Amino acid sequence: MKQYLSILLSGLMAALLFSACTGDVDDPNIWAMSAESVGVTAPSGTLPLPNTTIYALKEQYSSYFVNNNTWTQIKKDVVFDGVVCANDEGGNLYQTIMLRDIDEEAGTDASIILAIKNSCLYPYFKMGQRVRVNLKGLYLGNYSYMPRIGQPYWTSVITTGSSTGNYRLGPILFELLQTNVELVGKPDPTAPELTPIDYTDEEGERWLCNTTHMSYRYCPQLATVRGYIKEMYKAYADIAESGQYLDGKEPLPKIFAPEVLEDQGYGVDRTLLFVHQTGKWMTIRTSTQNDIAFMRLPADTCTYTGVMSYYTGWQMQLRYTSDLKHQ
Amino acid sequence: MNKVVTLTAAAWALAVMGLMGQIMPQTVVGMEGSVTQTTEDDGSDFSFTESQLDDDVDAAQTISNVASSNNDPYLSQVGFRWSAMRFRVRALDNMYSTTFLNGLEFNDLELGRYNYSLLGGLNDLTRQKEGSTGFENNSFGVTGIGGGDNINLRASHVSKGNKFTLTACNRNYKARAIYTFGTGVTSRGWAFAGSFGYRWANEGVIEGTFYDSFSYYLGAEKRWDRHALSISTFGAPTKRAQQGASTEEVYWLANSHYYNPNWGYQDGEKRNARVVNDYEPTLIITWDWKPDPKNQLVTTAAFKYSNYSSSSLGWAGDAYDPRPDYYKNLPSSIFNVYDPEYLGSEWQSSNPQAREQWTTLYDFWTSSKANRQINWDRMYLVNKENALLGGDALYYVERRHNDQLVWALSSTWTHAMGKSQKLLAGAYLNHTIGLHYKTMDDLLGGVFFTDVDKYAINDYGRDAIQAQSDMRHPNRKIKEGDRFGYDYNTYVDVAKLWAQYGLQRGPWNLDVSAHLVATQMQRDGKMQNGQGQVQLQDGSFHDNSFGKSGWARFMGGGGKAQLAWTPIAGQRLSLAGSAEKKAPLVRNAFVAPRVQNNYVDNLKLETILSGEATWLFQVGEALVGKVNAYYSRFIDGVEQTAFYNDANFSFTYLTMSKMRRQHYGLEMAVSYKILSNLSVHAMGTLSGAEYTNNPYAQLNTEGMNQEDNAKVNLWKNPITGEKQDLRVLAKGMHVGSTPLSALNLGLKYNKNYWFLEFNANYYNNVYVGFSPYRRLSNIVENYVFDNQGAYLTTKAYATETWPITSDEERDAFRKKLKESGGVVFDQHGNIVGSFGAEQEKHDGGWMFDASIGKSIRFKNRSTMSINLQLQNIANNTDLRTGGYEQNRDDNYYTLSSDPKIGKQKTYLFSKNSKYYYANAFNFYLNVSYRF
Repeated sequence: MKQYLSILLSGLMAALLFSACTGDVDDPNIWAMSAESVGVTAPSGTLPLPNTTIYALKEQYSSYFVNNNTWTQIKKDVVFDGVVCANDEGGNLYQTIMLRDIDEEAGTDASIILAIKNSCLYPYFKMGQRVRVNLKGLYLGNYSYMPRIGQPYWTSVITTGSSTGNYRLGPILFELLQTNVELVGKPDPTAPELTPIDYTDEEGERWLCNTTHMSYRYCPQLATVRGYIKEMYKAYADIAESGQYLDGKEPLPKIFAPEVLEDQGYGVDRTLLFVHQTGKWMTIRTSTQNDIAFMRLPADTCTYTGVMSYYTGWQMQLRYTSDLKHQ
Repeated sequence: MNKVVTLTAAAWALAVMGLMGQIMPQTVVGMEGSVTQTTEDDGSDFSFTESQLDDDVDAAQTISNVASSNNDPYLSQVGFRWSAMRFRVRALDNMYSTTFLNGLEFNDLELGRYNYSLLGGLNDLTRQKEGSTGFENNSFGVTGIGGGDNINLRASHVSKGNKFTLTACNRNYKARAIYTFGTGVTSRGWAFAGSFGYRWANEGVIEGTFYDSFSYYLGAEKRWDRHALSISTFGAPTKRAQQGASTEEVYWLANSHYYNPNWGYQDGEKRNARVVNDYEPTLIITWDWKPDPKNQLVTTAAFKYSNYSSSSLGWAGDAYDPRPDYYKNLPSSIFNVYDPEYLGSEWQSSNPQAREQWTTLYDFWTSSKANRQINWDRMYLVNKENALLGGDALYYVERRHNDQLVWALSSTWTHAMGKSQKLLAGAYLNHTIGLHYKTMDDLLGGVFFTDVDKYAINDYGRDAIQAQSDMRHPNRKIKEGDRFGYDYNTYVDVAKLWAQYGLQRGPWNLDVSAHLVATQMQRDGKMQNGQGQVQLQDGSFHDNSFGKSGWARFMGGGGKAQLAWTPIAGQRLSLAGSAEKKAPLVRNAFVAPRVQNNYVDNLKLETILSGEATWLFQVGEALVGKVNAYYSRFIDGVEQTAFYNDANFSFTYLTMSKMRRQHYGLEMAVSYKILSNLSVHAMGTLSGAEYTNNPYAQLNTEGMNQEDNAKVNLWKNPITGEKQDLRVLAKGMHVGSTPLSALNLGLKYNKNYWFLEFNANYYNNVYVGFSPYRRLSNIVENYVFDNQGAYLTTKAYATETWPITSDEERDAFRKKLKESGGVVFDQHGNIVGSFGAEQEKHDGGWMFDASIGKSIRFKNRSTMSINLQLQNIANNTDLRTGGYEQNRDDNYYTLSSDPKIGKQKTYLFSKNSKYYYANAFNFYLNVSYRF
């Protein structure tokens, strides 16, 4: 009997020792990890060296930026570098990073949007990160005049209507980062590309009011503008607006993007009146459902920094809540 | 004396039955509530065989109790033969069966079910049991209509001697060892017994799963005079990884019906995100007293401390959904692959980019196993990078705890009145505290996590109260091991009185029983969740989350009777019927138990009416069989489904109330001995189980304020504009995830202690579990029939007509109604028809099983038995055991967008239910040595 018991106890001990290990996995060495090592972006050095710049690219394919919602597929190695100067960390930009390249020798400064189908890009594409993109197989064109790299898609179909949706240049599949995008070095918080173009003075406002500047060359831009919000100007502050799609009025005090006012693009436009150019204005566009959307609309004159683009006029999307500064 | 007792018992039984008509729920609808939720991917049930008894099945594979009535040729075999297809007797949930341990009812008061993992790995003990059908009398208590078992855990009932068992198999676990001993009753009246088991798989038959379970039982018993006192303790600390269901597209991409989306590689090693820790140490004390040969009193007290938790991936902020089979990762999210127009050459050639993207995703899925599993390393990287920015962990593993403290007591008095009459009466008390909370299991390289509702932040802003999980500790930074999200207790008390009386007169046999049950329940919030704050007219908030709710009280009960006639030996005809009022389960009682105390609407006793007619026959020694017809009706049921609803990115509860169902069918079993050692058998059932009305519906979404919750519950009449009660169009839907038809043909042979058995099983009428959300009356299309014969859709476009001017158009409309469902109104706003979306029925199929065994008796009187079971010999890997529809409709809305403009998603959820498949060919080799 003792013999059996000793066998049994030995077996149980062995079993318990075994069981302590089952299913447990050691923590990985997170400091050795990178977007490349976890299979998000292409291995370092696998993409061809750059053979163009963002500026040259936009000039070369200018026709696809001039005509609204047009694009072309790039079928050869077209490679450029850009520095991330806007991403989705603040939640106001969706599936978007903005790449900017300043070539001091050539005196050029140009930016383009890289649209990627993923809701959380900023951990991979931090501000100041240099990114190399090979356009082979990707599409270059514009979405509502915004120059971007993407892939075409059909927008959603109205439930039982006859519409088949709209054909637009959407984001590239996240999986394509493995073959078409490479991170170069570490993020550089001092990169010149992170400095916005200043349009806050009178000269800057004049530049903005010159409609000839509403061109793909200057779109998108990381810019700073100055002004005050029309919807908060004097008596307007207490007048709640009605939404286009939903019954009811916006709640007071006003915020940048209440859901009741959102349009089909899930954003809300506010009007920024310039300080020096009386009666002139541009749009501050904010997506709903992020921290910027819930910021109180300022009644005073402020500076706004963000991604500036144009459609019928200039519009800006802030990157972070800190992009709004009271003066 | 006997007559007095008889009359008293009969009067009491009749009084209880009569009282049923007067019972009203004493529902004190307080302001609070809570419980364990079975999420939608935990939906299906299955029954057990001896070998599967200790599989410790997932909630997704909850064992259904098969009342193993020892004398019933159907029920005694059905569990063994059809468990592979998760067959449930009469399509009943386990909550309608009752399991007793030493005469004490052990069904969980929160879930209603008995948890078989309680005795997992202790198979030598669970064989000692008495089973009964739902109508017949027994020696332990009143069972549900699904019948019941009483497992005897007294030490004296464990076979004397030692038994050692070794098992090898390729199922959830791969190896098992059990050692059991029993001393029998010694000359001094003592009996001791013990059993120890261990089940293990580094990787089970499903990839990415593992199994690690130790189990123990210790029992002692002392007998003296006419008394016996026994004490038993047991438990099975278990850690196991789960399998998840997936869509047919994903199975196709993975080239396997056994693809498991729950695991992925972490630094090259497999890691499962869904790991269950389960340990329910239990203590049972039983006092048996037999004052005289005619009377017996069995009193059992038990305490159980259940520790159950399961892990799950969580993600915060705007982090991308980490599930590998998230629909946006799938090729079918690129274009509508179910529409022939999109597959046609014309569309394909004019949209080459669609095929290109589809191919990219297809290649990604099929090029590497790692690509189609969870990417743990990526989550670690994202957390590291966000931590460097000073942010929260964006990905984490949370552990959802559903612990329980149970005190239970029962006493059963048995009185024999001569040889022909028997009376049993008993009382049962149970006090259960459910403890429900979640903890941070692993921050995956992150530093902290802020305890807020990320979706409420997106909807209402970071400063909104709805964003706070606990307003008493706003924006609390939590670390691993901390509680977060929700934390609440539930209290359920049950007191039951019951009696049963059996009478035999000549060929007649009468069984009558009745019971009376008082139930009360309450929620006690340990966190002050922001969503549980009710805004009053003056703008202030009333807390409806922290602290105790009011009590909900119910007085239920019922009675049943069975009359059997045995005109000649071997022929028995019986008729039985029962009526019962059953209290709702606490798990279904609160609108959003994790965050607030409100009870659901229409919370009342469920009425269960049931009847059956049975013919049991035996012709000589050769032919034995049974034929049975049954019908059961369920009225005023309450059923809650909880699921992550990515239509509004939040955890949603959908409660159906005033629900009606019926279950009916025929059962048959026959066995014929061709030779003394060769017999053939057949067994079959043909049944139905379906919803018979459109129950009331109530939605509640965590993180949503009152106003928005009211919006998702709103259903307006398209003509009058009046608010209507929200309904689930469930009428005609079938109970899913069990075969409603099954047939077994087989033969048995034995010679010289060799045993052979072969079975061929055919299964059919298995339905996918239907989604009530997809069938909500405000989710399906609403149509209006005008006097020109045209239909107007009122949801997508208020002004769009759907003219019906030809038979083709009429047929097309009918087809659309059948497939997608809808509500049709006349021009006055009256409902002229309601149609639930079509429910998918799986293909039927065959499965062949065999077993071979040998018993060996050694000279020293020790014995060895060897048994090999082979299941699914033909390796049929296409048999769906069940599954569920995704709780999502095909259209996309936001609360703020025009409700008339629903946009159709490219990915069609209606075409992508998730399925479970019966195991491929598998074996179970068992060797036991008794000495």
